[in-house]
Amino acid sequence: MTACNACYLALRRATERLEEYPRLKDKMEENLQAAGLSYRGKVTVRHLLELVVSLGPDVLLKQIKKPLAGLKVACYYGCQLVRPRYYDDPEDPQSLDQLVELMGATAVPFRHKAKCCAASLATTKEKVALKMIKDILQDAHEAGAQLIVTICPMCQMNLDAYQDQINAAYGLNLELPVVYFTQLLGLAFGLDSRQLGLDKPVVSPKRALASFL
Amino acid sequence: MTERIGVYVCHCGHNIAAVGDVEKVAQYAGTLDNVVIARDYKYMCSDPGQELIKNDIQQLGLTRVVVAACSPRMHEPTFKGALERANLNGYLLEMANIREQCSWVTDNTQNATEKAKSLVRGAVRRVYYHRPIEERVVSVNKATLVVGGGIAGIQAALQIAEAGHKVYLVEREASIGGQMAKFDKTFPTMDCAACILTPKMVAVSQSPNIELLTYAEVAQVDGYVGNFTVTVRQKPRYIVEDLCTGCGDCTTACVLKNRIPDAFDEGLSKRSAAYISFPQAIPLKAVIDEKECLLLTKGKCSKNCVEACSREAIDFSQKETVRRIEVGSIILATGFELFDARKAPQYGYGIYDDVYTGIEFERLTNASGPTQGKILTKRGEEPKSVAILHCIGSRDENYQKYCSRVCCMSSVKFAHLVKEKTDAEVFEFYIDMRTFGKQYEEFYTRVQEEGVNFIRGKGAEVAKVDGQLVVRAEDTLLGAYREIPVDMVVLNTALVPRHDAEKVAQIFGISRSEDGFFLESHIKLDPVTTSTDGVHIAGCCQSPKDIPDTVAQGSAAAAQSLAVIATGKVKISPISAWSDPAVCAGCRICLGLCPFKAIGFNEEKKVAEINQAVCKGCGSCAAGCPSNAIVVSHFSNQQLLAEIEGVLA
Ligand SMILES: Cc1cc2nc3c(=O)[nH]c(=O)nc-3n(C[C@H](O)[C@H](O)[C@H](O)COP(=O)(O)OP(=O)(O)OC[C@H]3O[C@@H](n4cnc5c(N)ncnc54)[C@H](O)[C@@H]3O)c2cc1C
Repeated sequence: MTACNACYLALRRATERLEEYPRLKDKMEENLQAAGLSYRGKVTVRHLLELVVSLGPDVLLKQIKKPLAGLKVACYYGCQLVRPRYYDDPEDPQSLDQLVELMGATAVPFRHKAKCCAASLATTKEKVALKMIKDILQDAHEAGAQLIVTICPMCQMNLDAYQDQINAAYGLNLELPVVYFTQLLGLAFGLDSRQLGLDKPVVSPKRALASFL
Repeated sequence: MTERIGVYVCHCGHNIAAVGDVEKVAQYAGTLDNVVIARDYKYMCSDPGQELIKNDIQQLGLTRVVVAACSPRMHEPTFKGALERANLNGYLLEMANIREQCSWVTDNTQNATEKAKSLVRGAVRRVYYHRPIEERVVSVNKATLVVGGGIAGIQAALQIAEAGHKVYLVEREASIGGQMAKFDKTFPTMDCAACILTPKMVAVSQSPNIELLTYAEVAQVDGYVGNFTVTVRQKPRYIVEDLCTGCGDCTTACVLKNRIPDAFDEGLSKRSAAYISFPQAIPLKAVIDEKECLLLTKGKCSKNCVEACSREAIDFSQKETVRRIEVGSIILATGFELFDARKAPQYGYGIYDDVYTGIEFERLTNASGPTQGKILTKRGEEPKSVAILHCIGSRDENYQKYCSRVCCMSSVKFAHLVKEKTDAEVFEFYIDMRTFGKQYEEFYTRVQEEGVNFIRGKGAEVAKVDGQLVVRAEDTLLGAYREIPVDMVVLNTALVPRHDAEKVAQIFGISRSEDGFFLESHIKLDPVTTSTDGVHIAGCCQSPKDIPDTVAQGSAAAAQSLAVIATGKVKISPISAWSDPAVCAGCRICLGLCPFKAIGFNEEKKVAEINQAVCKGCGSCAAGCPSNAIVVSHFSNQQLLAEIEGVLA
């Protein structure tokens, strides 16, 4: 189980390649043996979102103590979980939207939901990254979202931490809180906001979540 | 009595012999019980191969034959013929498929050879129990049913009618013409679609041999090749066809005038509840849309249409009619639909103005379309730049894997029309250009010379940036990412099977291929016949294709039907089920199992009775019968068990 899209893609790609190309498996076995190790190849890689969703709406609904009614959320999947097609639509994924709706919130139509957050370009090619992040934030803002929910810590950081710089560079005044999806789920489950680390994001979600804290 | 069996092992050139050891298989077969002779030969299906079998039957007195070669679907008729020429009943043959089931599925010689041996062993044991069977011959009804009045169905119907035979043409819509009737021009020659289609449509309406049933659908098909009984349901038009002159007065009088999205214009214009599909409609008769008409939905209307109709042709009391038609063969020409561009939201269809599909663009450029043929944006301005995106939903793992074949050419056509009618820049985004047909490459070259920009790279996305449409793509020739701002986008969407293709396939007892289109008997050599004898397919219901190919296939289907008529008699497979009344317990389980509705229940004797003429010998009933009362000829328990024992021995 991974909580990060990039880790998810790397691990899943590795397991699939091993299945597809037996020679690769032999080679890996050879290298592992040199270190006295071996791999039995029984691992299935899954993303945390996929696991949570697989619990089914009935189980989830039972846990929801504090529905997030009235909260407008932009569901951001990033580019790596859904490509290539695995269990959701690469261009218009739905699983997180459905989960957010289960929590009682409203998922706004969001064209940039599966666009790239620029990942590590944020540190190596800042100018490129800032534009990519700006487009995502702006789209969420225009769609009327009060908050963005992500399924990857790196996406979360990129969308959250650069808003000041973007505002300065583009003459905007964006202030959109960005949280990881289990933080929002926890809130709906009635957990304490401190336990959930809701005080941690750079842009505070306090105002957006005021009526649920 | 013992049987004298001959076994013939085919090399099929290298197909079988390159992997399996055919000599070993033949040698082994020679050691089996009752086998008198076993040979291997390079091509058993060739004349000398068949002669070998024929001579052995005559000289060695063979009474049974096993051919170990390819699939019986390929050559069973060939070898049956060889037996018959030696005066042995064709059903005393059994084939072991050692090509598709052995040599083609492994590269291991030992495995292929061992499996071939066991299949031959099974076939030898089975053939021992074969019984001679006589083929049944039935006479043929000379009428033909054509389903679908697009260009494929029109072509087929006209050809059969010209040969002097009766055709029933059943069309679901209020007019024939199909998709082609919506186009303005047709590639590669750019002749006007109506100019080449209308004469054929008129010929249909004037042919004394064609009975046209529009606004109608086939509900049920019973019977078999030569003698089908077809149930057709015809929706009420609420217009007496004989009285209506197609003057259109009712359409102008209708209180819902300009209120209902016009499906023929792809919803780009509005019509009345009483309407005529398009100016060249055949039959040129009005229809009243029962889903919209106020009188028919709400029971209340001022009925201006009735007043306006000087012929008194409007009749609100019409009801659906059901007819039974007898025909000898059937041609399915139900065509295609278009991929719903909303399923690929990255292209902005249904989200942004001025993003059109290809078929919508056809209406925009059509002189009788919503803009009288002017290419205009939603705001009513001439676009300064237009993007045309190929392969929307085609050649895409996420939607349809196949190539829709016509879109490269229709995209080039669209580009030419934009150039002809406006001063706009045109950008085409393509993966590969597929201009394969006669005069197609020449047309493409001509349009290139008109100054159209061809960008090699699939359009990835249509976005709106600061109120401006932009197309994003990777230009794979430049190796660069491009964003091109445009005023109008045309998405050339994939040709897909009709939404009800599965239901239609079931009604006519045919199959569909993986892509959802109707399945032909053989993709190369038999593209018109299907798994049901007497049911032929033509046009885009079989696969996406252009008009030239559609017309050719329409003619081919007509030729197939004419062949059925010309022989006057057809052989029908004698393999059928029989229920032993002495054993049948009358449980009726078989009645529900039969896909061909061939089993009836005799209330008096309380037993199931199988109609031999309708039975196709599929064996479902025999497998399901709890008291073992049903026997399928050529597939008796004795034969099947012997084969299984042989394979497993
Ligand atoms: C945008 C576009 C542009 C094109 N331009 C060109 C061009 O310029 N040149 C060219 O060569 N080709 C062109 N083509 C291809 C062309 O459209 C097809 O080759 C042709 O229309 C196929 O005809 P058809 O009779 O097989 O199918 P259709 O035209 O689909 O006709 C099928 C008919 O069957 C009827 N039907 C369907 N189901 C039933 C049912 N269950 N019962 C009764 N009736 C039924 C339908 O109502 C319809 O009338 C183009 C295609 C597209 C999408």
